Amino acid sequence: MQPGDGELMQKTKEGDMRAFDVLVRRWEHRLFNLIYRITGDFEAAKDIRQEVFLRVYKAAKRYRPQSQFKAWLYRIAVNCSINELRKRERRRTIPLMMTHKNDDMEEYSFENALPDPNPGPDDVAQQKEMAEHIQNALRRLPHEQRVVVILRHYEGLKFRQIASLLDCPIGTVKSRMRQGLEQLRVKLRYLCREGGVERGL
Amino acid sequence: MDCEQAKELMVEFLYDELPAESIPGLKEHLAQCRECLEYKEEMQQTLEYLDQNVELRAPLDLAVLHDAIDRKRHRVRKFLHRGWPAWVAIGVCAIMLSTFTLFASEIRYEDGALTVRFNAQGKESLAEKTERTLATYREDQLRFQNQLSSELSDSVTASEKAERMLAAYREEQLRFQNQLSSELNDSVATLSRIIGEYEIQRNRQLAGAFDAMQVQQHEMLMAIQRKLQTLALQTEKEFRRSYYTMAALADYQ
Repeated sequence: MQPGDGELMQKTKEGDMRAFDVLVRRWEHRLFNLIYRITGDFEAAKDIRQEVFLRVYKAAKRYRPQSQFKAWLYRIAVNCSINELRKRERRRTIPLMMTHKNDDMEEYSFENALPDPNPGPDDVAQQKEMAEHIQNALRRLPHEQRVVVILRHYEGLKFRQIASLLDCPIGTVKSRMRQGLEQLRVKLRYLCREGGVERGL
Repeated sequence: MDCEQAKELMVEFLYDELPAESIPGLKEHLAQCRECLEYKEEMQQTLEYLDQNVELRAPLDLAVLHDAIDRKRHRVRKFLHRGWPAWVAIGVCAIMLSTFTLFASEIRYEDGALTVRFNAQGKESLAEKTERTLATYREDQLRFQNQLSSELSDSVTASEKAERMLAAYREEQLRFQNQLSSELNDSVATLSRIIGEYEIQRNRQLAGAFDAMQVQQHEMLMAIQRKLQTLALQTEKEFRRSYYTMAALADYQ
């Protein structure tokens, strides 16, 4: 039986680096996807993930076993991602489309993530195209709405958990989710038709 | 349930978070409202679109992370272990900071950039500084006075309004009181009239009954008188007969 996150954090607190490594391996991909979806930038997502793990390590001494690790980790990740977005907004360098080229995605073993173990080249291309459309549509949402949509749809958190994570009323979370989905409804329909992915759905 | 309420509940419904008691109402509305049904289907399709997004895998280099942790952990200690260069650097920084604080006319940190400005003629004299502070203070005072007077005029307006409302209320109350008292007087008059009529009627009834009783009593008395006269006549007759009988007996003896 694998040790729980709380147990691993306890060992990390006692100075066991191997326990910390297990924790990192367990969460690295989920955390990367969460941060990448919020920021929409591969390189920034990698850096932020590292920063999040650094903070987790640093905060291990203060970690209380009774608090839920996932919520705690996500709170740190969301805060770091939002800080990055705010920094960019201040510098006014946020790009309208994705910052990386398609070639960059090969580096991150895109194919490994596909559900079909032996995808044809067309399938891979189509999946990539669709992923880009979705990511672009998500990027165009205000970041308050984007964070809620990602936490609810991709991370499966309940609305009350999101409210607690973001320190805001549950009504606000629901209304952001509704507004986000209504905007995505228009954007995705348009983008998927434009990109000819409609046939794939 | 109207369309807006249905749309508000839709997100929770699509994610199976809608409380069980709200589901039948929403389903009933969806069965009747084509627009909301289309809205629900479009939202569902949006979720399906979102599901097409793939999970990416970007392995993290643990060695790099460990290095970063070590760097962070030992940053201060390593710096201090450099010996005299570290202390010289700290000293230079301290001197620069003191110089800036003493001679800079303005130190500002904005948008990630530190701006230090020195007045061309050195630091402004105490008199200039005092004058500037005083001017700022006067400006603040004037602004505060203006604000205060505007607030005062607002409050006066509010108080006048309240007074007008109070006067209107008093007038209304007086009118109501008058109306109430006039209604009361009317009621009292009506009641007195009814009572008077009732008394007259009752007196009339009582007088009739009394007369009838007197007549009856009179008749009864008359009947008694007649009976007494008859009885007296009979008694006299008896008495005479007894007298004659007594006289006859005496003659006989």
